[in-house]
Amino acid sequence: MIRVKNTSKSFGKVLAVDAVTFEIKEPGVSAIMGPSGCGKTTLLRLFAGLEVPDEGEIYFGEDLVSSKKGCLAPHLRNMGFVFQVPALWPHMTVAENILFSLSGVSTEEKKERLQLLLEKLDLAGLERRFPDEISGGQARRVALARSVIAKPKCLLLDEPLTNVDMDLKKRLLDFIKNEVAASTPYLIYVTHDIEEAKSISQNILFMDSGKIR
Amino acid sequence: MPRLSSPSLIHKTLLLIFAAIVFGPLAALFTGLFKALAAGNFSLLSLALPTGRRLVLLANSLSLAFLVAVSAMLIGVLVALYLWRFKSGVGRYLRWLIILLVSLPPYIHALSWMSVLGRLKIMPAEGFWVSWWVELMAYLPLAVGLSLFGLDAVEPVLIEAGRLARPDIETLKKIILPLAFPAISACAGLLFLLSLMDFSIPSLFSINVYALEIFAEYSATNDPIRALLLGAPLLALAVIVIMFVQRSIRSAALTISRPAGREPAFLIFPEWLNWLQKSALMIIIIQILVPLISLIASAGSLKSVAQSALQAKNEITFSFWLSITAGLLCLAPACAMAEELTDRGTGNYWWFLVVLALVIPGSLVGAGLILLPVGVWLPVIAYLSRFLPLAALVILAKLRRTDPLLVEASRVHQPDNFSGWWRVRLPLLGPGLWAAGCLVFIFSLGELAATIMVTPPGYNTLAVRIYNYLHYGASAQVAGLCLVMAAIFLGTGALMLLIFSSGGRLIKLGAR
Repeated sequence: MIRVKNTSKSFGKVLAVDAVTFEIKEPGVSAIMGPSGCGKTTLLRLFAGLEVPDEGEIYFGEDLVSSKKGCLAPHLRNMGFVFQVPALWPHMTVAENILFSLSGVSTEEKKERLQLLLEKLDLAGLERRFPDEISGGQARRVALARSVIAKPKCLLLDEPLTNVDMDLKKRLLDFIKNEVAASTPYLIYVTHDIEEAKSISQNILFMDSGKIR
Repeated sequence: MPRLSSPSLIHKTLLLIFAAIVFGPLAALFTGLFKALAAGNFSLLSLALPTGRRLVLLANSLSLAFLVAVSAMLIGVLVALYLWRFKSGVGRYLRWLIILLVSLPPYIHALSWMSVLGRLKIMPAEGFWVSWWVELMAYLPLAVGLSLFGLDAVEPVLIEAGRLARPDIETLKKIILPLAFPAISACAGLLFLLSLMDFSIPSLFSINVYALEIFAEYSATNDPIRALLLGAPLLALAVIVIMFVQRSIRSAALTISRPAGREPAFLIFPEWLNWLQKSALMIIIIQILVPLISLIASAGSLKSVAQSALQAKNEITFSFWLSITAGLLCLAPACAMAEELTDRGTGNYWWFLVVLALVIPGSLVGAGLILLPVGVWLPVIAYLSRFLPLAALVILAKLRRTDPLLVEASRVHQPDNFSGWWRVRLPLLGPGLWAAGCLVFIFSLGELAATIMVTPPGYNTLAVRIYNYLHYGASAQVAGLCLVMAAIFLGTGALMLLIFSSGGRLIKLGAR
């Protein structure tokens, strides 16, 4: 269960998230929809522990993970995050980028998981390349692979398919729906595209002016 | 990348002027050398190979420069990491103050520490370790400033992606520091070369260094060619170091200028690292307070400072005019070079030359200029020769910050080339030009190594007067002069930072 209780976050005079309260009781895919600037990204960043709320609390299960008094460090939340941009580390190869989040796992298993993801995402053969040596579409897929390789309990996707061509968009949506959603207990998908939201989940939350409607 | 569409003939002429001014002194020296060799004077060449006492001197200079660079970078990175995390409140002001202190010439630090050590009497105010400490103090702001630029250039989203997977200390080790490495390694290389080429601090603390040998050889023989040959090992070292760090400097120069995005969340480091950062911060606070308190204490009353300034009225006026002329004349050639550096083709060659020009020893520039026709404005050429590359890099930073679409929109909509340039591109570049001019002005005002050789008889600059006085110890008079100089530096530097960071809004408001 993910529970957000009366959570607010502002940046200077801009109130990005305004006393939001909601619960995701059952595991599955949830979509958050809303126009640009409505606070969707900030809400995801609050989930991930990348922002500290000004007010309110966020719980994963029974554990309080974020409040204005303190936040559980992002890496301790067992979460994956796909940003709006691929955000690949330029000094690491594709394989190093993907494997970065994987620790406490044998080398054999690392190799196995990496190969499996590379094949599923049509990235085989690119593992030794650096981010500036792959295309934009490939970079998106690497970012997705990086966020799922550690099998997180919760995966946050922040408009992951913006500026992606139709063909790749369809393939990635299928991958997220069929492969990622099946292995990730909680998946929160942020988008401003109603069709995309409908195609990925029946549980859609609408956000506007910092509030969940 | 926005590119000023100045007529190519003007652009090429300005590039030629840039190259002639920056490399003219060296070219004059090499021409003189070839003439001497053509006359069969081959014995001169033995000077280029340091042996005996000179070899020991070179080794000592290398150790001093290495120690200064390593220690300054260690402390600099720690302080930068601290300030980088505290971007608001006191941290913000401290960050600007440290960057401002970059402009203070090394001999002002030397004077203040000379005075402090003289008062405390805990150790003799001379020797290798005192020289190392004072050089460390002098170069620390540069180390902090460049490390900060390097850290600021790391995109927040890359840090956040790391924080989701690993503890902050690992994100620091595996993502932040490797990405900031170009700026950090470039800074280490520059500090090493700056320390190697500087003789002002070691000479004031009775340490003989190789850079002083060039000046001493010229003073003893009045032969610039001998100075060139003596300086050859330093030049060779500079070329080697630049070959190693040039890529880093280029990468740092091109990324530090990236407009800052969203600030990353506050990183949590282990206690030992916090403790190290706080210790480093204490050192930088000492670095800031000592010159200030010591100069004020040594200078005495405001009346005596005014008296010192009045006595040096001629030197102050002369220095002011020379420096302001250099600050104005640098703009056009530096602008042309900044554009050229963005060119993927020819830019590669220019990068090497521009970075190399940053570290040509001042005494060699002076020796080369002496071979040219002497005039009262010769120091201006010396300043331009030393600081034009710096001006070009500052303008390049502004060029990189400018949205290419703004320039492209002006190209489409401008009624003619001139209006597009005058009404859109020049105002966009304005803060960069202003910063470059101010930077050349303040560095020229403090320049010593070349000025001391090229100032015409009957004239003196403020820097030379201070340096000459310093050999007699820290007196109230010299402290007063240093205070005047520091006030000019800090005032101009503050104005420069204000306008550069306001993105030119202050210039526009003034124009309205």
